[in-house]
Amino acid sequence: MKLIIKDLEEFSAPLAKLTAQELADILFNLGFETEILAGKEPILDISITPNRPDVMSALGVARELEAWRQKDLKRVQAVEFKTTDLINKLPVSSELKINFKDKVCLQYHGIILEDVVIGESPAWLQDKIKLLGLRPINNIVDLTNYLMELYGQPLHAFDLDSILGAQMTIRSAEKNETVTTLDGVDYKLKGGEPVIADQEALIDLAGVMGGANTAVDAKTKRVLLQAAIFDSEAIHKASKGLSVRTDASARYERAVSPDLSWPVLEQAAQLLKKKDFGQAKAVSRVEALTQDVQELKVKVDLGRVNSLLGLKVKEEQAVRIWELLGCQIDDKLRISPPTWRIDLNIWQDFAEEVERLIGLDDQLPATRLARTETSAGLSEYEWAEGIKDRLIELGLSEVFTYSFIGGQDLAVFNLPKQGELANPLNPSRSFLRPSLLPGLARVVAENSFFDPVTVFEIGHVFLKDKEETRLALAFAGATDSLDAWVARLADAFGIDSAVFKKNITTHQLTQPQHQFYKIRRKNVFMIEFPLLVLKSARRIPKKYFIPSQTIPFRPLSKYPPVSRDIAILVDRGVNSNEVIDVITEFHDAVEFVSMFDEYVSDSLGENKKSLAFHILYSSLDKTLIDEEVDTIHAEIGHELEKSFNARIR
Amino acid sequence: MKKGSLHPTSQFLRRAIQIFKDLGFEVVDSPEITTEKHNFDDVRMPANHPARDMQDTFWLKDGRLPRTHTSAFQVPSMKDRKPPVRLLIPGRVFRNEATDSTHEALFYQLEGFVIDEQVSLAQLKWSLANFATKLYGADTEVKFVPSYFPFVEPGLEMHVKVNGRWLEMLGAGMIHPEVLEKMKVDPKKYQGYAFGLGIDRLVMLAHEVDDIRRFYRGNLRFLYQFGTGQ
Repeated sequence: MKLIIKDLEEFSAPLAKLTAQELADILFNLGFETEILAGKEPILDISITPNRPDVMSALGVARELEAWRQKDLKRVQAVEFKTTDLINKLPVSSELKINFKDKVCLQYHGIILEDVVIGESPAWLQDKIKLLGLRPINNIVDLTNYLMELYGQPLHAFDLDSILGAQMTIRSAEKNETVTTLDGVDYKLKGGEPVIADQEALIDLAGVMGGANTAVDAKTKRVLLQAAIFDSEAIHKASKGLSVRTDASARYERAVSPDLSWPVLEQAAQLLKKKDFGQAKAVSRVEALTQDVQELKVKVDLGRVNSLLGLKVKEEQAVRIWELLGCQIDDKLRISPPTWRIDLNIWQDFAEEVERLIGLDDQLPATRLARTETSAGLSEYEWAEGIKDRLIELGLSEVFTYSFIGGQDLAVFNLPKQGELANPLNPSRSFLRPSLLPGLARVVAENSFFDPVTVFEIGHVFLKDKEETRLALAFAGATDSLDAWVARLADAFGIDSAVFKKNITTHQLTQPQHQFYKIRRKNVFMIEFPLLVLKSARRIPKKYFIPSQTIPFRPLSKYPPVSRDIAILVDRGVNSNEVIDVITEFHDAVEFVSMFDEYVSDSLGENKKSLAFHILYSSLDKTLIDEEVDTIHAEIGHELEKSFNARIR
Repeated sequence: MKKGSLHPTSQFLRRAIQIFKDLGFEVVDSPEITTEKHNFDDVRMPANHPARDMQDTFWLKDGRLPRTHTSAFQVPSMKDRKPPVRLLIPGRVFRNEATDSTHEALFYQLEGFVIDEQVSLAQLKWSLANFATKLYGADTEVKFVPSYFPFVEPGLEMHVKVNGRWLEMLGAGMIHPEVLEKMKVDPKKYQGYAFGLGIDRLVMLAHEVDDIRRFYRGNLRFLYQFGTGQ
């Protein structure tokens, strides 16, 4: 969330004396990661966690900063709103009839303004709007956006005379109802989204964005300025379902405090009656629904707070902290949180506030956790690590492969299609792996010129009715025969060779598999079995080695790698991960491939996009010369033209 | 015979796990495919709530999901256990995020938690600082910052200075009483702390690996560099 630092002065003059860095540091210590953005004026970009919707405004940030600033001061000075004198004098409007259905609206307040002159915002407001990363639209809309950033209460301005029948119904949408929002987008609703309807049509995608049919424009004379609160879950569902997220919906889906509406509307009325806003007149207020706020009282036991935190905080200090945050505490240590703190519900929440304001980092002592003895036996993890050490002694190397594989992997290995993902990231990885073998086939392909390839993986596979840990091994090149390896493994683990053979699957790579994975070398074989097969083995190491120090990373090849870029024009449906796979598997000299640009634009052609890749070429035994690389690079280009109907750029 | 090599992530996990085993932690195994209940509801991330948006989820057509975090096993691990407990849950997790040099759709996490009659935030801080210094050296600087995770209250992050740069290493906090209740542990009698960290990023930092995807390609020229871990 962007915050103009100067806006903090609206709520607390002393905060103006702090630098941007000081403010950022305090917010960081309070649990809000903050970046300082350079610009015409210093702006903070604050990360606000979902549990603190009250901080999504300059007011909320000011409250937090003031609590920190005042914690060592003698007097507590609460951050206060300006008065609501103007609003209090307004009569309650009887102009609009507002109906509420489906419990989607919790509060509906507003004011009606006459003599409205829509025009450009005054310069100071346009500057603020731009600093916040928004576009100035007109004086009313800009004001609503700015006040929302200041107070955290979203506002919406309706052209009052466009509301047909002088009536509004606030309810859930039916399936297939439509609304056009004021940015010109047509929505066909799924049903359940909070909406506002007048006599004829939907006029507002409530809490998300206003309707185009009631937007304020040059012809507007009278405005209904709405300060409402909608049901959080319904807004969140609507926002996600329609894939539209606005500053308003981001606040509604967490919570908006009910005490903000009149102060915000007061500010709006005061500003709008000024000359530079066209001198609009607030004539009445709308008080159709007021949220029933349940008073919460939480009994806090200071002993338990100290036990949880590992501290010895005195009651005086704790009470002081809670008061600084706006809480009321009675003499029995029952705490009533302020309306804007929806995150304070149980005593542990109040304990966290104590620790947060004291400062989590500096002053809390750390207490040693005494060692206890555990009588637990070997877990499967520890057992597997011991097995790994034994395999490494035999010359095998551990690999990790992906848990998701493709339909084609399943087909070429004659494995059943099951465990399908509903939303795969990569179409060639859309099933849960029922076996480790296809992944190991890819590993063999990856190491085309490495000799010998002797690898293993211990990992989870997914069968129709269970998840199983398996050990699989793959062999290629100058190594012993399958039978020799089976005998060697049985011996190394101390398991009867006949029993072992009965419980393992051995597999010689078939011709179709050689073709599919592009494995040119002959004689590739694999072994796979559930790890539990080794349960009765007599020679599993009871302990495994703990690496004692960090091994420095040595460059992959002594001979410097050569880098080339390639950019291709392809149809937008082409998956870049598949392109990377094709390039990587094309030639052993390709050490690594990464995509550095994806550019989608109609200027490239209808349904076309451009993908650009860095390719790193290297060889283990010599420095590659340019001509060699050029040849391979050109061949890769041809391969991509063939496989993806690509055009090299 | 020439020895093979141990995957760098396995090596790192062994070291990390040993630091906690030395404090009496027990390692448990856990499934990679889980239910919405365990992955989200048990840890206070209900449907239609912004807290769930913090993670991108893969879904299976049958309604189950590849876990987005090892926290999915917190409640199930207590099914046949009673406090006091000190458990470690290492394992693969899955995120439906675009992949690049520092993001993969699958990576490794290490989760841990303690439940006992007397466990405090101060002890959590000690345990985590102990972890950092055992891993990176006695002079390692650490910093604690408040944070938010739905399953702990208070919540915090530990930042560690590695190679002159501060990095956010892990999230942690005191186990939320609602989670304790789901574990059938009485929150009036017991307290607990929990922590979780992503492993791949730390392995990359330790060895100056330029791309996370190298960990899952099985390239032997890459993997051999890491040796046997001894």
